[in-house]
Amino acid sequence: MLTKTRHIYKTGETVRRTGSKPASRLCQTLLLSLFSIPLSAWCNEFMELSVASGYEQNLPRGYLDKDVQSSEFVQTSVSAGKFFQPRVNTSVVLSAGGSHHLYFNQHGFDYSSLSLGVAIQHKLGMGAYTPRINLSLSAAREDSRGAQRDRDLYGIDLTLSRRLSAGLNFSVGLSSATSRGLDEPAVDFDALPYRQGVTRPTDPMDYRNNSLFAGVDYTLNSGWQLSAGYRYQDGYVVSSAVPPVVDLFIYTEAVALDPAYDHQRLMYLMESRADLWTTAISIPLSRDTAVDIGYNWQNFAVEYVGGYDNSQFLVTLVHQF
Amino acid sequence: MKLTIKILLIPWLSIGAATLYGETLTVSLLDLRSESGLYDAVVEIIPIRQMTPEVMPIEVSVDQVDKEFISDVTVVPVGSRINFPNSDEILHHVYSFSQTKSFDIPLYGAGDNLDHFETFDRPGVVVIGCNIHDWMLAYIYVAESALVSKSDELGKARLENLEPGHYQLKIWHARMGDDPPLIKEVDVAAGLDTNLTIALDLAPERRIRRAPSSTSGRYR
Repeated sequence: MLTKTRHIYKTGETVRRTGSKPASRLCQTLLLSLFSIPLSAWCNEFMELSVASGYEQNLPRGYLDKDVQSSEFVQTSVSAGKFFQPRVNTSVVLSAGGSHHLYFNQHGFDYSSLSLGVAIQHKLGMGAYTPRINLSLSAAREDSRGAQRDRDLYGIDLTLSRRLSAGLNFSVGLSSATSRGLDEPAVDFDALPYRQGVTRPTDPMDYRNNSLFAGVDYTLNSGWQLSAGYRYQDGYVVSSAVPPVVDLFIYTEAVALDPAYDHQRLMYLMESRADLWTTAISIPLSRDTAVDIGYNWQNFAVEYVGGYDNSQFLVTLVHQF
Repeated sequence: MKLTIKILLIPWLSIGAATLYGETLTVSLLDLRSESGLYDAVVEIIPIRQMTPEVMPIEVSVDQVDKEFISDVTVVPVGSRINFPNSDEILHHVYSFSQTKSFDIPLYGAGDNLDHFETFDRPGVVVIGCNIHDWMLAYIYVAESALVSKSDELGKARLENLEPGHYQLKIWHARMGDDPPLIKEVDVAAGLDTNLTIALDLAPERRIRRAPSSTSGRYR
């Protein structure tokens, strides 16, 4: 099911949504939440730090070869939260987190993120091998170097998982992610090399992706964990391209000048169906620390336009305090 | 599970006069995979013809510290009582589905349930876990005899003050999984120290991984 969250056509109209003040309030709320965690109950809570470094093959999700750009990146993230067990087989996790993503070859894509989440898990019985249902809700604010890419991101995931043995665990689920741009830029369509008078919506960061996913992980005797996952995503992709790309312009759902390229490129919102594959090896360094080596591959199919892909290789150090 | 057993029975003439019920049986267990001593194996002997020593039940604690049971293997005689203190500042929920002893102590925090004892009145192996922390796992070996010992880091288990006679020897280790204990017969001769060496080829231990990963849930 394709769902476009908003369809407002504006021509030459400048509409600025105020994004900075709500962002400040969200930051304050997050920080207050983190610092209000009582230290006396620290063991009842968790804190996790991860640092990842890697390579992304098609950072702007470029459609044509000339639009494809790769970059090495570093991302750091920290999350903390509190675990509640209100009933024997039901637990609730509240978490808050922050992350920063740095792309060495294209700093226009750098962004920081603050997030809040709640996850409710119910086990359909007792023990490690009983099926469990997990419902998680999340909200994040992403602040990038250009206001047009700033957005709020809301997610809901429903996961059914079951451990079949001490080594083998699998999960399936549904998820939906809604992106809301914080800034709707003005676009002078007449200045673009397309037919005069033809316009498009100017809110490419407003969209929703729905997906089905499945994953499996297997732990070897050595403690190394192999994992693989697949996600089928029905929704949208934001693709950045040097104009003119007539195919993209004709079929785009929304378009704006891309701040990641100092407005020298356009970013297009395209309806797409995507296959997202992930594989990883996780090597435990201690019982609280692990190094993960992962490879992700994404293929986007855009109707009338074609398909393009992106791949990512990354090494992540995860430590839980 | 592939189980290879090599038994070397080495009776040594003890030096000095043997006292009544003063014999010693030493069982050396060798792990064929690591080619080292097999740690934390349970060695129990049950008299076949001679008088069975009276079993004296005991009270012990299996503590929970830093989201692990202390210790991995606890050996008690049948009829013993065990409590499961929580020394962590979080909730634990101890349970067992084992046929030997099934129980469930729901959600309790530090200092709670110190006076809650479970009675283990049937011999066998009891696997215990925590319903919140899946990786927490430990074993309780409920011995039908008072003549029981655990192997040390060198793989040696020593049973002392034995009456000479014919015994059934039971050897159990967590890596045997659902398989029953290894059972043999052994003679303990008067005036002799009896030494057994047994090599075992056991499957590697499989436990739920505790270490985090970038794909796992955040609370562990």
